Formats: sequence, structure tokens, C-alpha cells
Amino acid sequence: MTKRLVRILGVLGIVALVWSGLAASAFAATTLSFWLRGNEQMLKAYQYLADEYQKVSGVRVKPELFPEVEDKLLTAMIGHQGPDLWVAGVITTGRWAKYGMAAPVDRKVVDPRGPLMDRAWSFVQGADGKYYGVPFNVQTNALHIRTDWLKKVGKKAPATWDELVDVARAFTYDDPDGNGKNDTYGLVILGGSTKGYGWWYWQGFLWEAGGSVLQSTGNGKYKCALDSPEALKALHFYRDLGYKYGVTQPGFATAISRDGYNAFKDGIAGMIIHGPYQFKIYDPVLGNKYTTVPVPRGPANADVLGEGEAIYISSQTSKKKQALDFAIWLTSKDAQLKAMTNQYINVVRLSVRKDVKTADVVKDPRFEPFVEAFATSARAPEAIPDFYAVRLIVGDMIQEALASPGADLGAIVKKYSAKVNDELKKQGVYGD
Amino acid sequence: MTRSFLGPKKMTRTFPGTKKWKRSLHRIALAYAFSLPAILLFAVFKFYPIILAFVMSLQRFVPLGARPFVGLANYGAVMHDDLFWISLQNTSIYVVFVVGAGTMLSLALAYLVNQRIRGIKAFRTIYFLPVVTSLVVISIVWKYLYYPSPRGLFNQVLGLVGIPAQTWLSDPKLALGAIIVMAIWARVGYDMVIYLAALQGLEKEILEAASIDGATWWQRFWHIEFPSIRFAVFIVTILGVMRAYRVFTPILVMTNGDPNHGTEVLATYIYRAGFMNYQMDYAAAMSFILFLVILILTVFQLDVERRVERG
Repeated sequence: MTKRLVRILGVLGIVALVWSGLAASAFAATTLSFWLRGNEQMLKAYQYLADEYQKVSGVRVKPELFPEVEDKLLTAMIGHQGPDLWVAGVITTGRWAKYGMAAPVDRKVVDPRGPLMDRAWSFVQGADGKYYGVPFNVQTNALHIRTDWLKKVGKKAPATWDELVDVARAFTYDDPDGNGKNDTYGLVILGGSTKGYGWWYWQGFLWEAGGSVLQSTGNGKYKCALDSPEALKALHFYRDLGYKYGVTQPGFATAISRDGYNAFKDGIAGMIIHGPYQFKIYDPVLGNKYTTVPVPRGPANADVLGEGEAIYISSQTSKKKQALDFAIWLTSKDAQLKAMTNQYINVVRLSVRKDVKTADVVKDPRFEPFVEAFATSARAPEAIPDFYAVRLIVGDMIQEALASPGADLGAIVKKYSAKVNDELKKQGVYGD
Repeated sequence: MTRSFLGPKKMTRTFPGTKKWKRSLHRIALAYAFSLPAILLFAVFKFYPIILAFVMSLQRFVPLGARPFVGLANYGAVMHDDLFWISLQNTSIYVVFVVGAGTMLSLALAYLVNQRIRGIKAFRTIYFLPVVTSLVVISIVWKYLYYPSPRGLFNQVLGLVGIPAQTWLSDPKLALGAIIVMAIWARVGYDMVIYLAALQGLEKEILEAASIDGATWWQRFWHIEFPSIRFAVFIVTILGVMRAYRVFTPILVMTNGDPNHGTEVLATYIYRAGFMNYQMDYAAAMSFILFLVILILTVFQLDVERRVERG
């Protein structure tokens, strides 16, 4: 009896092993592993896109969400356990290219008839001129502003820096929510050093003041321009919003994007600058009490940060062709429309295609300032091998400037200019 | 030779001590067999990564390529890094306050909950609750308690006594202190249980005799109870220092080293260097320096304990 039982169990075990082995190899052969960073809604949206792709191609794509996908990619790829492809902000393009983690893609293969925007392609171009990702989504920033508060304080949406300060003051000191308490603030600003959020928010102010982080010295070389009078002006203005005018949300010196979104959603601050991706979060709470307008113009111009996301194909995957096919499908008109209008979240904010007019597709006038800004004034950071490293240094600088109200900003920019120049030397693109 | 109804007894030649030797060999083999899974797990998940990390600290890190040997260059760079010294200083401040104040507070709590009063078990449970709660959850909750606007809970309390709202975790002067307070709150329950066990192991007769002889509460504590639980104090302190030097989760969740590196500790700086700046070699070198710091402090503490025990 026992012997018989052992035999049966043995046979069952072998069958299970063989079956699981076959299943695993079948899964590996037909399934693409696709990593992303974000939230559950984004995972659902990408899962929806993956399901739609399976319907047309038969290829299964398995999206996986990681809170810190950049960290996870590094450790996974060291152990040859990375995904077949991933989606990440275009600011990381240089990093993937520098470390050989993303495979270069042929623009002519992906975009033979040229329906994708040149600007979108420029975001995924490495310092060597090759393209290291397939553009999937682009976006830029606009000012989100409480219209009910504007009405209460009798102001119109700001169009210049001076007007921005004026409205922010009214939002801070004139009790725009009418609760009789001094508990509202004008504008969200971010100073958190995490992932260089300070840079991300301040970069627009810097360009608007006529400055830039890097200055080209020709032949693909750069030097740091943070110690220019324009950059110093932008930094002074940014810090003054917090301390001189006192119109920013509490805790701005260490705030990251999530803190900022919450401050606006919860009625603590009346203005915030970012891309068109929080409507589904804000709308249930704020309803029609807010709108979007172009970012107020600075002393020099109205340039805003142009960014987006791209699909990167792993240099280690054995399924490059399948991965690229999926990436190409994501840039198709059908996929772009689905990505913009699905029930979960708009993982495509502005389409990378010239033949898709975002404002017409989403039928929401709040997208218009973004579309307009992307077409006219969106800029990308300088194309050095790894701008992300510079972003982190500038993020630290913003943090130091905001955390020390009395500190000499001239000394701070000098200190960080030296750090940025050291980083440029490391990357081999420093030129004086 | 003896006979029995089962047949002749098997003749075996034995040397004196062989049986004993075999038995002890068997015992050793059995001990190793039981320990083997733990040894294997430790070797694979602890020793091997530690060795790899040490090798990495002597190389220039290239994620997907060959890594050239650079000797002690990474260690040299760490020694000249201001931020490393700032984070070491912050970590040391954290350790001194969390272990120092935490040890005293937990001892006081253990003494209190060791009294025979009604409902004392409920108090013990309440004080121990933070220990069984995820540190991530605790950190998130405390971050909300420290919310920098007047709407924050702590600021509302301050408002009741006329103190203006503080920005807590965004204020370079308050941020580290705010995290230390949270960390003490989170760990006192664990230490309290160790002290409580030690206090409950004391012989009641001695304490009663002291009371009969007219010893005050303080005399009983200082001359009888404290010397008897000194071993527990050393254990709590040594473990506390080792744990506190590796502090990571609350800092990452609450401030991520901000403001202006005011709460940057070694573990968060190592994480930042390794995973955000992709400088795994540099991060590995810092990890080994942290290991040495903890090792030296632990050896020092054990030495102090030995001297105290010897009187």
C-alpha cells in the first residue's frame, strides 16, 4: 500500500515538474515583461493597453508596477533578471544609454512615415545622436488655479511673475475659502531633494528668468551656468515666494510632488504648476472649482519644461523584436487614443503623434494650455550623456537655498556650479 | 561468552572510549545537521552578499560591464566627502539620543508596569503595540502628525498653548529631533519587555527583606534591582546601538535626508549613492565603514561590560 502510494506520488511529481517546466517556457516565449513606475491606476491603464495589444497581436504583455523602477532596474539587470521593456520619464534616457541598459532603436523602423513629433524624438536622443527609446507620451506644465478663490478675492489668473505674487498674496492673506481662518496659501513650490524634485519645479522659473543650468561651449561641450545673474534672479524669486512674500504652502522646503498635489487638492494652496495628469484625482474633491492657465511669464520668456515618457527596450532581452513591436503599437493612433481616454488614468497626456489633436480627443478645455505650451514654449534639458545626475545636484541646491532663508545664494550657486562642472567632467562633456 | 535462547551473542571488539567518541561524533553531526539550513541561509543571503559588496568596494562600478580593480580609492573618496561626515554625525546624534533616552524611558516604563495593580496588562500591551506595528506605517502616521500647517495635529496642540505652528520635518533645527522622538516612542516597548522579564526574575524575598529593613524605594532600586538587571541594560544598549546605527526606514519615509541633509544618516546616504546615483562601489565602501563603526562600538561596549562585571 505504502509502496503504491509512493509510486503514485512519484509519477504525479514528475508530471507536475514537466508541466510546470513546459508552462514556464511557454510563458517565457510568449509573454513580454513590462515594468513601470507610478500608481495602481497607471498599472490598470497599462494592463488595459496590454490586453488590447494581445487582441491584435496574440502576444501577452505583463505590466508590473514598482514604486522605484529605476532602483529595481539597476539591481535586476545586474543579475540579468530585468524586464523586456519598461516605461520611464525621458529625463532618464541618458542614464540608460550611458550604462548600456537600453538598446538603441532605429527611428526609421519605428516611425517610417514620420507621424511622431520631432520634439518627442529629441527627448529620447542620446548624446551620441542615437535614439534610446520610443516616445510614448509628452507633456508640459500649466498653472492649476482655484477659480472660486479667484472670484472671492476679486483677481484674474496671473500672467506674469508680478501678478503671480499678487494673486498668491491674496490667496494667502484674504481668506479665499471664507472659513474665517488664516490657513490658506497662494502657490505650491517644491524643494525636496528626492529625485531632484526641486530642480523639476524650479527649471521653468530658471528659463523664464533667462537662465539655464548648462551653457553650451560648442562641440558638444557644456559648462554650468547656475552662477549667471539670470539664474541667481530665478533662485532669489523662488526663495522669496517662500520667505519674503510668505505665500507658499508650509513645508515647501522639503516638499515633493505628492505633497504638492495634496496641498492643492486639500484646499491648502490655491495654485500649483504641473502636467495634465491629476484631473482624475482633483476632480472628485474640487469639481469645477479650478482650471488651468498658461504658466505666468517671467522677465525673459514663458518657457516651460517639456517632458514625457518613453518605452525603453532592454539591451539584455532575447525578445527585442517582440518588445519593439509592442512599443511601436503603443505609438499607433489607436493605442494613443486608448491611452488618453481609458477609464483609469491618461497615461498619454499629450499624444506624441502629429495627427492626434489631444484637445479634440479628450474634449476638455483644461488641456488647451498644455497643448499650446508644448507647441510654442516647451523645452527639454540639455542633451548631455546623463542629465539625471545633474538634476540631482541641482535638486540639492534648491533644497539648500530653501532650507536656509538667510544664506548667501551667491555662495550656494558657486558651490553647486563646481559640483555640476565636476559631473560634466566625469561625463566627458565639460568645456570652458 | 554468554549464551541466550536467541543464540550466541555477537562478539564485538571495543576499545576503551570508542563508544563515547562515537556518541559525541554523532551528537556533533546531529547539531550540524540541524544548524545546516540556517548556516546555508546565512551563507547565501548574508555572507555571500557581504563578500560581494566588499569586492565591489574595491572596484569601479559599471552596471553591465567589467569592473576594474581600484584598490582603496573608494574608501579614500569617502574620507574626503563632507556629506559622509555629516551623515555619520547625524547618525551618531540619533544613536546617542534614541539609545540613551530610549533605554532610560523603557527602564522606567518596565518598572512602572512591573507593579501589581489592576489593568496593568492592558498598559503593557499598549506600550508594546508600536513594536508589532510596521515601521513604515508608524513613519507615515507620524509624518501626518508633524504636518507643517496649522492643521497638523501637533501644531493644533501647540496652538492651544499659544505656540505658533512649526514646520517640523522641514525645519533644519527640528527635523532630526522630531524623528528621534518618534523613534524613541517606537522602540521603548521592545526594550521595556526585556527589562520587565529581568525585573520579574528577581527574587522577591530579597526585595521584601530590604523593605522590612527600611530601605526606601530608591535604595531598593539602586542597590538591589538595578545591579541585578545590569546584564539586561547591556544587552539592550548593545542591540540598541547596532540597530540605531542602521536606521533607515523612518528617515526614508519621513524626510529622505532633507532638509539640507539635516536628517541624512549613513544608511540613507548609502542608499542615495547606490540606487539614485548608481555609485554602488562608493555605497559599498561606505557600508563597510559603517560596519567597522558598529563593530568597534560593540567591542567597546562588551569590554565595558566585562570590566563592570569584574568590578
